[in-house]
Amino acid sequence: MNMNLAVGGISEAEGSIVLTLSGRATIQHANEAKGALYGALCSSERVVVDVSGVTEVDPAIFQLLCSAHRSATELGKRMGLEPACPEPFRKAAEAAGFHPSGCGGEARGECLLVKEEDR
Amino acid sequence: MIDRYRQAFLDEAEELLAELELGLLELEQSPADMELVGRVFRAMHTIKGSSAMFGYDAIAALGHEVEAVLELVRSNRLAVTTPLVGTILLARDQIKAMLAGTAGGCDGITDGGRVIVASLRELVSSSASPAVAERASLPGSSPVYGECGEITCLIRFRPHPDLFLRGINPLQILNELRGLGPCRVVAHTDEVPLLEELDPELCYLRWDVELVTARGLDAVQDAFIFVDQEREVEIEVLADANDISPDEEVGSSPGAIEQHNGEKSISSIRVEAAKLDHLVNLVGELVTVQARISQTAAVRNDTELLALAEDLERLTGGLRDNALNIRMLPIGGTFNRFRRIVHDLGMELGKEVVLETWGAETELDKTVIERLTDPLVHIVRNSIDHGIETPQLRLAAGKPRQGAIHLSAQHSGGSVIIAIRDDGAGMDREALRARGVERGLIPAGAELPDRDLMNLIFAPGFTTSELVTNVSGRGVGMDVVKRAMDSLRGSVSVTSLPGDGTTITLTIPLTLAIIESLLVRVGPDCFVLPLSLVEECVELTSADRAKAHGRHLVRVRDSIVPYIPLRERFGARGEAPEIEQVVITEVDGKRVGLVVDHVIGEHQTVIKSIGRMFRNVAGVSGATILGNGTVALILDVQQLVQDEVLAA
Repeated sequence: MNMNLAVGGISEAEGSIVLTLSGRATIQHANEAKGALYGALCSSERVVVDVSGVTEVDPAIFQLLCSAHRSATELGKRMGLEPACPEPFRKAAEAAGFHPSGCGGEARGECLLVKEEDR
Repeated sequence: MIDRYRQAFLDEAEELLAELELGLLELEQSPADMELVGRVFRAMHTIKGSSAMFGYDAIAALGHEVEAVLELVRSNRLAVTTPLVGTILLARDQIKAMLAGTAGGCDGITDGGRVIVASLRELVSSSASPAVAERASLPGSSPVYGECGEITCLIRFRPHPDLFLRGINPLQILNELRGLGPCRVVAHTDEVPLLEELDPELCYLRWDVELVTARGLDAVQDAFIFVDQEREVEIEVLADANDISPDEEVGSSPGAIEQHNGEKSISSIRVEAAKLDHLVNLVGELVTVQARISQTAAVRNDTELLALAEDLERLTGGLRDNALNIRMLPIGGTFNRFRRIVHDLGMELGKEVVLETWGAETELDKTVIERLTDPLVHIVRNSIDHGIETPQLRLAAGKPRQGAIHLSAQHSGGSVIIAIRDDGAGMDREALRARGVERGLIPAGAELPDRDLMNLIFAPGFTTSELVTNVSGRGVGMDVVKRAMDSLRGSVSVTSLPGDGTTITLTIPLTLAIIESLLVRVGPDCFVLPLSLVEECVELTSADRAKAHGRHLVRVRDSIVPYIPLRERFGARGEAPEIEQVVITEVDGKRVGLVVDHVIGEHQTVIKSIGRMFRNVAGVSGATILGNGTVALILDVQQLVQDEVLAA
């Protein structure tokens, strides 16, 4: 099991940047992940974060994704998770109290945890 | 960053372990005190949780075992017994050792630890139903809380932004709450800024939790043990099944929580001791410079400069007092350490001893307290070993079974008086005398005053114990106490009544940094005498000298006082003035005069050590810098007197 967060695998596909997160997505790597997200948002109209390889995620990373999602909306860009909020990811989000409809940030844009097509 | 928090954790763990120890020892005395049980539990819970947070998994595992036992005590399913307290104390020592070796993280529980774990589990299984025992010993499971009526609470958790940096993962807190009963957690992200402004290591989130639990409010509060409950958490009890019997759950109203937290929150900051030392050094320098300015102003007789010098003096004085005050610590912390020593030693020697303390709030300089600990340990150990009798002997002598050691501290002028009193057998004067003669300290058949006889115990290597034990009898101890007191510029005295016990009294200056002193001149040099020793000053004329027929004695009102002529002692150059001054001091209860040329006056002395080269110079304990920039030596009056007695 990859014990560290790997931020990388930035690839371009169909006008989107795909940012891959894998392993432990925790506070220790939050700065690195922020840099990557910021870079991706600045250079593309659509950013997809691939979280399929994430084994652990903590509230600091949810907070970061939330902030990035908000920034994307502000810039008129799109951001989504791939696959759209996988099961382990969703469970961790729920444990941390993030609900697609109740995190309190919904007024500023649909929650990232809701599948893009359902928004 | 994380390392800084780790150091803070280690510091905090040290304090918590001390609190745990004290709580346990108090609990042994009053086993039914549930508030104490709660205190001990919380200390252990915090140690366990923060250890886990910083990767000391073995400590966390051991802590968990202890917590399981304490939880049974808290829910009245296990009684507090001496073996229980003993086992938890051992676990506490083990944790302390693991922290000291920082082996808590990787090496796992050692053999010693495993024995303790086995004893803890035995306690759990012997007193609880099998189901409870199994639950309690599962590593990683939530502590078992007692059932005490259902409450519904709304918890608003508004963490400080540095939450993550403090090593706290809010998920752990939320999961602990989930373990208490059905709950609904909602994270609020409205404070989360846009990516550009976001510092990903800060926490912008806040949570609302609605919880229904039957485990009581204590359990809810315990989940937030690592956060500032005063500022970061608000717990509102919405519905309380215990409303009908409020007496049982006093702490369950929101008002009570606030009050509870209010008592706990003393706003303070943790500062490295070295920074304080540096501050006091700087203030010392400032006091010296201020003295020079005052002197210069006086010499120039410039009114404007004099006024400024006066202002500076006032401010420097305030700053000095404040800086010294910051270093003051209550002696209670040191006293509390003795509870454990008394407990363990009593057990070892088969004696029943209780420790009473008085004046624990008395404050002393940090350095003084540190240097006082060893001498106090020697005295307390001696009191238990030599002083307190076995329960059988005590009963035979018509005394209560349990012996008492009374530790007290109180301020007395610029000093603190610490007394260690036991109600034991008292000192055997004949044994003291016999051993004194045997060691050649006193001539055979000499009639010594009681006090001199008692003071024999401070002679190096002196012991009346026939047996060399772990505890005492090796003859190291009381002379160590004497030397420590001398180095602290303090004194030690002993009184003892046969059958009634012994009291050892330590008199120590409040601080070692700056002292009030008397500045005197001998020949061209200035010397400083600690003002606390000075009683009065009288004149010495050549007529007075003649009356004494060459002996160094002076009549002060109705008594004859011996004196030491410092001019001769130090081989000062030049002629003595027509009228010399005798500074009468009190040393070890005796009045001794020191003859000087002039008494200049009172002086604020910032003590400087005189370096390794001069460490062995007898009669001088330090130096100070005077207003004119010259150096004055601080006289070690006790040493001067002792040397004079030996020379005679």
